[in-house]
Amino acid sequence: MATLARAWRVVFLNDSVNRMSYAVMVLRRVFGFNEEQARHHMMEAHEHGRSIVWAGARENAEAYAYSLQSWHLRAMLEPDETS
Amino acid sequence: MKRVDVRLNLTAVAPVLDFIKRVADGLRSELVTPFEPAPDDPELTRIWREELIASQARDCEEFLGLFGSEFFATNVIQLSDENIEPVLRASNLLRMRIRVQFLERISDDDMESETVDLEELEQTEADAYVAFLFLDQVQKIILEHFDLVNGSAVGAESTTEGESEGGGDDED
Repeated sequence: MATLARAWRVVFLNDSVNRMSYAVMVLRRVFGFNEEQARHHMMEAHEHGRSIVWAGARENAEAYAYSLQSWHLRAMLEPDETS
Repeated sequence: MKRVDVRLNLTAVAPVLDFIKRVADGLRSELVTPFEPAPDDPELTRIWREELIASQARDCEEFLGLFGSEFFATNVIQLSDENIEPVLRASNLLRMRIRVQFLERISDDDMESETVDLEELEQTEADAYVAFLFLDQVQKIILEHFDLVNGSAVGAESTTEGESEGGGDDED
């Protein structure tokens, strides 16, 4: 049961091809971020290679990661060790 | 419904389209974006992979559909609320594939600053680079003229970008 209750993170990964405006648009659209939040995550990924954009139930995390993939943005899931 | 007409120079664009079509043909069974799902669910991974590959193919089909017989008669492509999402995604995935497959030896800095000298490239690289820039312009036009977050139109000015020779908006 502990595994089922564990939270998962959606990690947005940097790539060198996507336009920044494209990444911001997709992040806003998928997660409902405002412009500032989306830019923050985009810049964090750009500078550090990754940005945690969401954490919560695994099923939802999978759906978010799939949405990012369908827009050809790189994403991965990882367990949230803090939960 | 918003519509943006983009007039293109057919002589310049035709060889670019041939190149892009060959790239698209190579994406029928392979994902362009590295896929990193949760490691413990192979069945979900398989289903996702199949769906994403099918989605890639649909997006590329929609993109190439812009350049059908009507385009060769009018030299105009029509971007509208009905096709911008798949066209935008297709432009993105085709750029990613071109970057990885043909332009790997060019640095990210040179790509970003668009300071690549075509004369220093081999022919295939030059073709790839022009296709990459063309797709970039298509993306830029869509992102500037359409609001994909809220689903409403932005502005109403005409477009004169990239390979285009002019054009105009038609808001219904």
